[in-house]
Amino acid sequence: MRVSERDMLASRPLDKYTPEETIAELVDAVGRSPERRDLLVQMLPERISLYEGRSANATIRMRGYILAAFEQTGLPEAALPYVFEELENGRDAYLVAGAAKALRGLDTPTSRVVPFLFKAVENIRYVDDALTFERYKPRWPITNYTTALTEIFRTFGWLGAQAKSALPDLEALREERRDEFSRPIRAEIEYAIDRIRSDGRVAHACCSALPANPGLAVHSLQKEHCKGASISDIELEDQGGNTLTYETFFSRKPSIVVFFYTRCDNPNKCSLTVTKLAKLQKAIGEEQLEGLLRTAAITYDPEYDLPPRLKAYGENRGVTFSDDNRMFRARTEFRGLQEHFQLGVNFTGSTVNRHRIELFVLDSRGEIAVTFTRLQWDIQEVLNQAKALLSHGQGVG
Amino acid sequence: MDISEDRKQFAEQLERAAEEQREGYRVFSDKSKPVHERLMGLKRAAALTDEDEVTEAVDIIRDREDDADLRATTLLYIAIEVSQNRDLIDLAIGLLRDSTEPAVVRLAALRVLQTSSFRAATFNPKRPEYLAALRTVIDEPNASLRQQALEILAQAKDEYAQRRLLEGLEDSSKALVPPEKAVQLLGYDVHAEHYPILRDMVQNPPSPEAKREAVRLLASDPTSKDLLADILKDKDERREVRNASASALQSLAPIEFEEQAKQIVLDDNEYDDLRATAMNALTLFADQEALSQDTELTRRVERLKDASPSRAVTRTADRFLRKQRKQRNRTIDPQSE
Repeated sequence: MRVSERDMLASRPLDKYTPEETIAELVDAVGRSPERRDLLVQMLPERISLYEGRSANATIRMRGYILAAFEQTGLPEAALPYVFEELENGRDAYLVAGAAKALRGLDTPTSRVVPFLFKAVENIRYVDDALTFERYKPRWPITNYTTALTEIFRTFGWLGAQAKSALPDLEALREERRDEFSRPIRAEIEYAIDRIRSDGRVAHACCSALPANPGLAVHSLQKEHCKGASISDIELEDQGGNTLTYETFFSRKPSIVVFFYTRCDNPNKCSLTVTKLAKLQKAIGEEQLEGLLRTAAITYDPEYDLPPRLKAYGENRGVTFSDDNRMFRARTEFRGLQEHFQLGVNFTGSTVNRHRIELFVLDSRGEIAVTFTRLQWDIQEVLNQAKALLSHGQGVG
Repeated sequence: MDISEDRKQFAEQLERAAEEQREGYRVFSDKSKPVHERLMGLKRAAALTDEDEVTEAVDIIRDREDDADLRATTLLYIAIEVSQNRDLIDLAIGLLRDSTEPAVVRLAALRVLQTSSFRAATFNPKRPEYLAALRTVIDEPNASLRQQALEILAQAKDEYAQRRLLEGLEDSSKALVPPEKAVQLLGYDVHAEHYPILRDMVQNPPSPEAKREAVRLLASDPTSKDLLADILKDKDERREVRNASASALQSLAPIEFEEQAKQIVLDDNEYDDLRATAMNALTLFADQEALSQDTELTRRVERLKDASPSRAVTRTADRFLRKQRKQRNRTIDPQSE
């Protein structure tokens, strides 16, 4: 290893002041020293200082480049939630392409990734783009570019026998939906089908090392969320302009709380989260749990998301408002909420530049009991977690 | 009533029009004719939709020996066919990308491609190629081509376009467009990292237009609330900049704006258009119940309605007072609505 490269890989703080080019050099250096790949994983949480003050496009550039590097370094388990998150929800071709490449860094192919790849095809087929990972911040024209769909179908091919379950759907794409793809993409689909068919190995879904639901975490202890100042006194303003403290709302009953912001431009994230919250409210009613559970949606963008914006956003997505069901902005100390919930969000100025999907089930003291992060949460699964709190006697404060 | 004669006349009219189009097409496709006659012929031909006509049109578009204006116009005339045919989309992308082609042909290709992009089913598979071509075009010496390509990319929140626009704002020798245009294009994406540049531009404007544009775009940056409020208060500031700051502040901080708007309405030394903007905002967005308690404000608006020489002021004052009356009636009789 060259000396400068050793310096590059030596642990040193990466923060908002680190030039993007330095980060790209570090990623390249890890590519040549795969045993240091954990460094790349450490650069993925949205909340770290590295992403502070950068534009949304800068965070996309950095994260996409990091994800793509896992193809070369090998993909550790700790990076999987980030990869799945992009495939399931991503609408940016560069990030989705990076995630698809990352999967080719898995030690062994597994059929468990197939549904994520199909979801990515549907997410990206109207917004695919020409891109390259050969250089960071490339200058155009670029002749040998790739695209997100290209990388997704190459990963299907790489899975070989492990993607046998995908064959009927891939064949349907090739035959019934061929008009939806360009000639080069159709050739990639064809090549993937050939590789899967010709792979003589036997597919074993049971041998996969992937966790069952990488987005779910049940918190038996709250210690990591209890550091920092108390959030009890943080002032929240609801969609009607009523002000109350965190403690007033999030106590005496378990609550389900999601985070969002109205200016989010990924329809798979905030808009879908709030739409699903409305459906969750209906499910609560159907199970006759009204009055026993609370729901809340808190904005990441409290200075912009004033009460009329919160109200309109919720109403347009079917949210029902009542004393127990509200949308909030923090009037004071949003940072306190950020710390308490360890929110996966970062900002440029006061504008969100990147965030994950996050839902928390809180007990009747307002403490986090369960988190669902990154991947789409299932309404019934969330409701079951909240019901478990009620049945364990944490429903009455 | 016998309508057979009308029908016959109508059929004759149609036949004459069709013959006129056929004749136009014959002139257009006759390479021995002068270009201006062929262009006139193309206009008379109206639309080229027949398969043979489209094939011949494509031959003309491909023929580099032919006149550039004629090729460009021909391309525009088969725009609908292009949007339905991926091979023709390929042709248009090739023309757009080819820097040896005349600008007029490339501009026509850009226009046709942009129209085609709305037909998602046919166009989407070509999107990556199209975006790649646009990114190449933003370095073209032809300003119109460059600016139109940038506009399309900026609307798509394109990373490369944003990067190049920001580079140009930081170093004018790398600028692809004037600064006021650059900030306008960056403004399509609230997630771009342009707010510090906008704030700096407001403090040190390269041109009055750039300052107004920067103020307008700060409407989506909550951290600029105080800056916008200061501009609105500053009577030495240009009125269009103050007007822009009024709109921006109203969107960003309606409560803070309401107080300032009242002061502007009450101030007889203020510009008429600014007072009209302030009254309009109060009429549309303020808490009408609280506003109806402010008798001094109502009295001054009544005076403005009767005495202001500005039509914009009297009109908005009238609207303000009508809404106030409605509010008072509602307070007296809640069933009145």
